[in-house]
Amino acid sequence: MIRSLEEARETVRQKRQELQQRVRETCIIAVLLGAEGKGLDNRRKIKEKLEKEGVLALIPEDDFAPDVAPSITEEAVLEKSDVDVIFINVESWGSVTEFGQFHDEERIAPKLRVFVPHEYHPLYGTSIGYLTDLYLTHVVKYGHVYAHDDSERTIFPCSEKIIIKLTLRHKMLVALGKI
Amino acid sequence: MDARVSRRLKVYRAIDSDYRLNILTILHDEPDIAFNNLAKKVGIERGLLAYHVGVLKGVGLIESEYERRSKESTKYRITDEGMKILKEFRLVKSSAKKTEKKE
Repeated sequence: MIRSLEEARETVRQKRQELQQRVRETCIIAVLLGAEGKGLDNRRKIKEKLEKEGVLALIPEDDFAPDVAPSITEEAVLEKSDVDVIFINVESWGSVTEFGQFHDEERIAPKLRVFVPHEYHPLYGTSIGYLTDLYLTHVVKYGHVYAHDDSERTIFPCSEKIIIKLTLRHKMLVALGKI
Repeated sequence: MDARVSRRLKVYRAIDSDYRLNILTILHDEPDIAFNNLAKKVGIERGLLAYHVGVLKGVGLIESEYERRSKESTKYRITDEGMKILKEFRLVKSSAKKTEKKE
């Protein structure tokens, strides 16, 4: 007998919970935002590694339907979707604008994990300016602003290492019911 | 983690959503539906639909064809994997068994 969508959804939920409890593991959905060019290549590398660890990682440029303008999709995704965590590597004017737009949205900000070049980090860097000041407000209000050095010339880790570490721990905590 | 378990967890995560289950059933009923028509059928804004089809594509339950020159938008269809899911959760009828067919 064919089930209704509601009944099927309930069965999916039950089976998912049973499997998660049995294996003490889960899957989370992560979105990777950032710049194009080298930034996009970096995100693709990160996505591949996350996928191997059981994470459903999405890159808007590659995975979201091209029929809709990216800015429109992103707003919908960030505000209304069931994504678990959103990583934003602020390394271009586009990603600066994205951060500026969403950093204080109550529904979005708690899911944001912001990556900034170490020299612009409000606590570890030397830069002074509006954007660094915005990062400081975000750190105080929500936490989750991370300094990175993708050239790996300083003690700061590259964004890839931070993203993978954070995502796997996030996944573990969700699996254990602690988030 | 065992690869099959990891895969299963990803699929469950992907389909544990009213919208995404609905998208799968619509694509079963209307293969090669265009993006804009799918948005109307599902009844959600296009930006959010773009995300949900992204999730389903990400786990291989649907596939798409984008025609840049055509005025029509991307077309979507369910994959064999997606069909298995619909049958597993009894959202569509399973095929009749071969023995029953012979009779």
